[in-house]
Amino acid sequence: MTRISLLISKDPVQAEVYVNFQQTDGSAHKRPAIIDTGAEISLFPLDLLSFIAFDAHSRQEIILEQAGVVGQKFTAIEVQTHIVLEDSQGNITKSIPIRAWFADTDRWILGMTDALARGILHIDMPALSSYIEIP
Amino acid sequence: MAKLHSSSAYGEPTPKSYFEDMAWIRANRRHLVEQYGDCYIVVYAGKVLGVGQTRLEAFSNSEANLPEELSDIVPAYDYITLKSVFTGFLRRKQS
Repeated sequence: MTRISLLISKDPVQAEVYVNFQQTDGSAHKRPAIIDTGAEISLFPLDLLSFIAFDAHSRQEIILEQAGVVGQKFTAIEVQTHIVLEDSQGNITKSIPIRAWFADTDRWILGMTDALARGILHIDMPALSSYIEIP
Repeated sequence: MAKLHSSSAYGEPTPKSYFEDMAWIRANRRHLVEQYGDCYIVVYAGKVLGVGQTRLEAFSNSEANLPEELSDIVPAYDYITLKSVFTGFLRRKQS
């Protein structure tokens, strides 16, 4: 198991983890993603698809809606790609295959399927201690 | 002039300076949002290189502010806001 420390914030209250995508030139594009255990699938900005590596055969347009919010529907692109998680202490996971959605958003959101559900998530807000362990 | 990169080697640990700059963004988030509003921000060595309403705009604005003495830079970038995120996205059922 690889233990990756999370970033904990109280303003706003959230936990994040550094996510790396592989770019088509082999390098990595990284940014913290919000840990969202209420999200079925991970969600990222659409413009990433112009330079990250993904399985082109898996690409499909889908319609998303926000649970419990009437009229909040928008299109997204679903693809199969890979990510690695890392922290500032030099810990880094192996490349993780992941199904993800890409849409018109500024946020990076790491959801359950293929990502959080692969490991053990520990968040201790009072102690500001948190990590995810990925096999 | 230095060259700006938004990437480093995939699968290899990221340089410490990246995490230091990201920690700086977090520590100063409220002040930065008050100064620049909700936006993308590019930071290197604890200094704001550029901001923009899109990632590309922020990187483009940063090009003119790169330190002369450095050749290649992997700056930290993030979208700064104080707004909470409501997600709960579901795939719409096919009818």
